Amino acid sequence: MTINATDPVSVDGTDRRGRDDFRRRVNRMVRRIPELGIFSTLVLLVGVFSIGAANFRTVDSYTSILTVAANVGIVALGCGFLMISGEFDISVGSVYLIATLFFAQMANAGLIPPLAFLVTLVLCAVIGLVNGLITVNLRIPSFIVTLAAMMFYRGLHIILTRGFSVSYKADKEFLEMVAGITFSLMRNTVIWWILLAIILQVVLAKTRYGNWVLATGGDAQAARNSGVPVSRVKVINFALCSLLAGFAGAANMARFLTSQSQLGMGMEFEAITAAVIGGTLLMGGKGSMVGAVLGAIFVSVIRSGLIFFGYSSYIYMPVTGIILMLAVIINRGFSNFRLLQFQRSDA
Amino acid sequence: MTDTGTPIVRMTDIHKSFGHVQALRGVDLDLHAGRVLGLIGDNGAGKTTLVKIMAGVFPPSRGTVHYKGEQVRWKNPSQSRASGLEIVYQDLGLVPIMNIARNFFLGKEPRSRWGFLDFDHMATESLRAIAEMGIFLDDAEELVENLSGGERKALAISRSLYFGVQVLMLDEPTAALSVKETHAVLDLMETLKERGIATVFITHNIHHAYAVSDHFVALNAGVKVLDADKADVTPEMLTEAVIGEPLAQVTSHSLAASVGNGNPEN
Repeated sequence: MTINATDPVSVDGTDRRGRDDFRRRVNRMVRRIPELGIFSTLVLLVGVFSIGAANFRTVDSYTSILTVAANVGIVALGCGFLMISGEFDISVGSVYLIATLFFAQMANAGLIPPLAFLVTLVLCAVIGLVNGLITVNLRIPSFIVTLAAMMFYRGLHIILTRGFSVSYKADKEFLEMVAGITFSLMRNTVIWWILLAIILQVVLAKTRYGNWVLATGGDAQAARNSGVPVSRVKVINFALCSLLAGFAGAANMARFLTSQSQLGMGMEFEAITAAVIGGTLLMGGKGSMVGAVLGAIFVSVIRSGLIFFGYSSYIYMPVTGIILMLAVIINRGFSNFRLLQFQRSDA
Repeated sequence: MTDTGTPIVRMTDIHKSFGHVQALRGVDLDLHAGRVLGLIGDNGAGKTTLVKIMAGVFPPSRGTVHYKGEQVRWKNPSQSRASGLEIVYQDLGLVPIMNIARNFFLGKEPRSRWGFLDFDHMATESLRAIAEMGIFLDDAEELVENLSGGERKALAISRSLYFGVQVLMLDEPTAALSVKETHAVLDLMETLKERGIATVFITHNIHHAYAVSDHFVALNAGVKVLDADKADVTPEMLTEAVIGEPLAQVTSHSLAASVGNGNPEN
């Protein structure tokens, strides 16, 4: 009945110390650097496109891919972070749109642009805060809450602009900092994007709050039992998600100087796709900001690559759909692989 | 014989009703440090309700709870946990897709100088604490979903101990475990005794309860039908109390008084 306490044998009788075999090391590496899969796939893809299409392997093409990726990528960071805590936000495209309007209107009205930009971010964070509070307190699925928000804010934009586009007419100096070209090769939005990704990755992986986010998405009840303020974590992440969508929107305004009501349409799905391709679990509890960055680049590479290969731009959607499906299967596949590997002999 | 020193927890005349359902009707219960109380009863007898009241998940409809001699009215489980009472639920409160170290310190993460998680500390401390339970794991980054049921129990219990639990309520800790793992968990309870923890072992498995408990309380339809030291009861008597009519109340005292007629008074 008793098990000798000095015996290095676990309760199921397997010796757990001498099992440092190859598969286990591979498994550990995959666990430590989950982005390895998407990274190698991305390198392979860029390689194939670069070899196959001369137009593709130019600095201009690479930087434009990054610029396009940064736009949806910033939104994907917020979506991914929120998804890891187990919630969805499909209103990001509309928040992105309304941010362009907030920013332009406030700057046009005479507010100094940096302040207009800041207030835009705050307003967008408040939108997320409201989404989060409704989801958490009224216990309505976030998919429904943000579907409503998605329609509401796009509709609001159309009402406020009567369907016309709104142009930015204020001072443009600040805009250069947001979305101009400082480092001759790429737009500053790429730099903001990477900076944001690094900060969020550190928060997620290395801080107490990050641990709470992972736990909240992994098993909300268990997290709650351990004293994690689950509702607060979710609400904060909703606010963060909308704030980043707002940032991307305002940055888009800084670059194109116009706000029109079809902007950001379908962006929610591109952002979620990027996060999922980057390894974020749809059900939450796992994911990475580095992965979300790579996912956004991946989607952008597919889009440009297909065009450079001479395919119609229509093929982008179905191809992305297939890749999303594959990504979900692979994400799940990895955990199956892990389970198989450590299956025990216990009854 | 039971009253060796003051009880760490004393519950007096606990009633609890949910709407029209009377889950508990006038239950008294004492817990002592370093002893395991086997809280037995069939499904729906009120075992879990009783410990949830003890841990402040909800208040009793009537009756009082004393902890270390003082009357307490927990507002929520965090409050009781901070004072050293904790329930380890059947589903354990662990996050399956997080690793051992992260789970162990969940909600109480240690931070190093820059405010970041102190992973080295988390890894060594969690493995060391689990090893004290006689369960040896070598990789603190292993996901909890890859652990066996017994290893998960050890993680959950060692976590409570590490953070200074004094009263530990184990809700059906041997449910859904293999024979070997069950024995390992029962061994854990011996460790808890040595550590001076007051343990409540909630189960409807009489034999598991009998193997490690020092004292028994049986509930039947919300009524305490037995309250006796191990020396005064047999597994058969416990079974009888659990499945019998919920009217007779058996205590060590009444057992002593009723020796001879074999018919415990109420």
